Amino acid sequence: MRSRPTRVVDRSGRRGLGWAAIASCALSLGSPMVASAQGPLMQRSTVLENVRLISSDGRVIEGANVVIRGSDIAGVGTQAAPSGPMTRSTNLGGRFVTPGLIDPNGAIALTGGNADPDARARAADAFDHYDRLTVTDAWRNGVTGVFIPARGGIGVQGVGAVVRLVPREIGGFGEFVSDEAALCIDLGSRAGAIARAEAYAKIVADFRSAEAYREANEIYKEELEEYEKKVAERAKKDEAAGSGSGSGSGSGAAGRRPGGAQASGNGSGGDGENKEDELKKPARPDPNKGYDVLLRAIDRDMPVRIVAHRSADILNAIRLSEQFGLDLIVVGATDADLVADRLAEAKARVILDPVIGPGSARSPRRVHRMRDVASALTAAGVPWSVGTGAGSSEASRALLVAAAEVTDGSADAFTLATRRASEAVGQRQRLGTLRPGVPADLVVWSGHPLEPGSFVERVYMNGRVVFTSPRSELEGGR
Amino acid sequence: MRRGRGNWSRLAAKAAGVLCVAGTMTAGSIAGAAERATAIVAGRVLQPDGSWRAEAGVVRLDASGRISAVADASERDPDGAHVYRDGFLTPGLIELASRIGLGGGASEQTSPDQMDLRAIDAFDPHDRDAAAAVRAGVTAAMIIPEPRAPLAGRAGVVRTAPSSDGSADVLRADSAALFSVAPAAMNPLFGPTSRAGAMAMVRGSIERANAGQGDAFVRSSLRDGVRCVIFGQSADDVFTALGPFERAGITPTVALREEALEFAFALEDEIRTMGLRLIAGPFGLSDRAEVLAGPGAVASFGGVVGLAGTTSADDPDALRRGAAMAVRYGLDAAAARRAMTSDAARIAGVEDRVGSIERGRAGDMVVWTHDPLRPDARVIAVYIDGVRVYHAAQDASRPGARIDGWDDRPGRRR
Repeated sequence: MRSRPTRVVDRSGRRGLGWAAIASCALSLGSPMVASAQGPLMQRSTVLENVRLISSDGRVIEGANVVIRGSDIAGVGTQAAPSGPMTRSTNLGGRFVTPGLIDPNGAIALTGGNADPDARARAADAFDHYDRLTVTDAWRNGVTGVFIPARGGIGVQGVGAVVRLVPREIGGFGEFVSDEAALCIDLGSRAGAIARAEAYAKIVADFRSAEAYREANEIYKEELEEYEKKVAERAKKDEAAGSGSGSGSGSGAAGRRPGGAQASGNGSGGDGENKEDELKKPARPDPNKGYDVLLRAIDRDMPVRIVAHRSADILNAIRLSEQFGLDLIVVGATDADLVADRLAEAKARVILDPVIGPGSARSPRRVHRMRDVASALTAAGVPWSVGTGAGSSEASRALLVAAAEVTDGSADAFTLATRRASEAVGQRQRLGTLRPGVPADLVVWSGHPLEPGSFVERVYMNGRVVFTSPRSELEGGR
Repeated sequence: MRRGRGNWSRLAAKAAGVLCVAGTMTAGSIAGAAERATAIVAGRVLQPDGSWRAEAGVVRLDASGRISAVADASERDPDGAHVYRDGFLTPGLIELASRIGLGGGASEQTSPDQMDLRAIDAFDPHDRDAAAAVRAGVTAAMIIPEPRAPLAGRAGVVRTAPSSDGSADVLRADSAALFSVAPAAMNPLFGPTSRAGAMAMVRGSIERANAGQGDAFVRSSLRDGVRCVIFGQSADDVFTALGPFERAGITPTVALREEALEFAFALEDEIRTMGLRLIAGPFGLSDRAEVLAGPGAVASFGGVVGLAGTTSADDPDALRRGAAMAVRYGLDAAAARRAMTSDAARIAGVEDRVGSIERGRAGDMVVWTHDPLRPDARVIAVYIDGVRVYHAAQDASRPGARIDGWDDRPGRRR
């Protein structure tokens, strides 16, 4: 749906200039958006003047301005931009400005090999903050945000993270928008039938154990409550008995020790030994952080990304999600077209990863098939997006190409790599969008991002220039 | 096995009397009814220089399917015209150093002199890769035997769709003599075992031909302008191999891939003085930036660049993707379009027949949704000799194949 430019008042601007905002370039909803975000009054502003924007329906909007205040976008519009002593303007000469592209599944800057599968593992802990080459390559290709999966053999692999490729004040790159963004599971996409079946059985057993662990903890809590109650009652009783007999307070204090061990000879009667048995403190189940992670997934506190390609594996993923009530995202999904209706029924989402190349382990046929898969998913009403899945240098380069080759007409490649991708990583409000109030992660392209020969000239992260292409003829920068 | 299937398909095609490749019985069938157009009207037409004609154009075709005129579109479309108001019309793409349709196998290593080895003998026009190539807009290919000997064999140029009687549509049977000094051309059993040995054979062959002796086909490369293509694994291989050709006054084409392309810029003098031509690629997404910059460097010296691809049913858009990547790393967009059309035809030696939308050329053309260098471009229709052999609007073969909203009625987009 096409949204219309809307005139609203810039409440945070020093002069309160009226601003016409372009909703469509930023929002998937197609509804009018606010033009500006509230911000500190005296913050420095940068206005990127004379830019072209791409709306959510693929239209090109000419002659627009983007206002950056501090580290955030303050406004996007086609009318007069704020000016003043604290405002700096940069004329971009009709170049395209887009939100930074988001790779919803790209294993970049993850150093070291695969670990053993472990639910406690966090991709955030494996992210190399000082991998300058990879980060620069991502910027060069317009990518500013990535979901990095946890990887480690077959089974429950750990927890993935969403990282913005922003320079850090303490050095290096990468701020986690979410360091626990999704539980990652691999059903053994490259393994044989038996290994895959065993992996699935093990995963089900893990989730069952997690549920049993929770039940044991609940029982423990109940028993502990009961126990504490009894201890309190006993103490009260003892106190009453103690004060009734007129004995000294010293023995009474000794009798209130937790643990139920009562001082003998306080005149409480001959059934003291039986009561001691009743008040035995329940044993706490051994803590298990891995099960805690699985339980968060069961509680839908975070989605579960399951790498599955074959239809049988996808059906297993659906079965798992239905059995334990998971928020399912199927990753890879080569055969998803065959089970699209089941995916729709299970309210699952899909992230395709069609990256190919001579150096890639993936079969080239997957890109070609992914277009069919995408069509089938759209027809069945299953939300889908495209990631690179790549663990190598081509990841960022491939994102827009993969999206363009796969797209089925329900969304253009650019939308797939921005809005759809940010939805897929659960950051629709913050990433992949040009709306006021979100971090100013912007990409300046020499031409339309999909036109041959156009390239990334400049990248802004948090409103500051972090990358300028040697081929760029742009001057200045912030 | 594949051979058998091809023959069966060919017989089936003949029996059914199909005009082209639209049958559903063939191994690699292509959707879309075969229809001959009198003219094609498109929103944009690719010029011979690789740029786009700004105004909508009309390409008229004669009864034999040749292009009879190219003009700006007029208010009234010609009768019988196929009209694509928003479409981009290009010549059919041509892939060089291709393996398309070589289902019969063309990897031979029985002698260091295999100049009699012909790629077209292994070509099956009913191969599924060939059918996929048509659907992807690749209408012709310079197919080669695997260069596994210093005198490696003969390239041929074929259309990727079979001719009307189901047989292979050969544009040029012996298009180029292939030479190789790459390690793949060496053999420990019957030699050569070194680059020097391979060079001795290449040099000997050229010098004998220059003296009017030796292999007749190689002699014809001097006399009749048959192309010579040199394969090398490194740029240094190519430097070494160029000598005998230069002395014989032959301008060869060099085929460079991977690391050799990284040093393509070092061929500047040869390109400028000899007019050296380049077959570059194939490229993948994982190739390094320095490799992808090779075609741009050669083109900037005035060299003619064509592209090798790996078009197959599994990866039908490989050629276009490679071109787009070369553009991203410095090749001019117009040069990239030429590299898949007119310049490819020149390198393959069929420029008088295909590769450009000009009067007298065959009506081998493709209609796209966008500039084919865009990764989201899709094929709308493919014409060979003016006959529409593929039409995406009628393609129900796969869920993602069909493109709705495009037909050929004047002025309408469904």
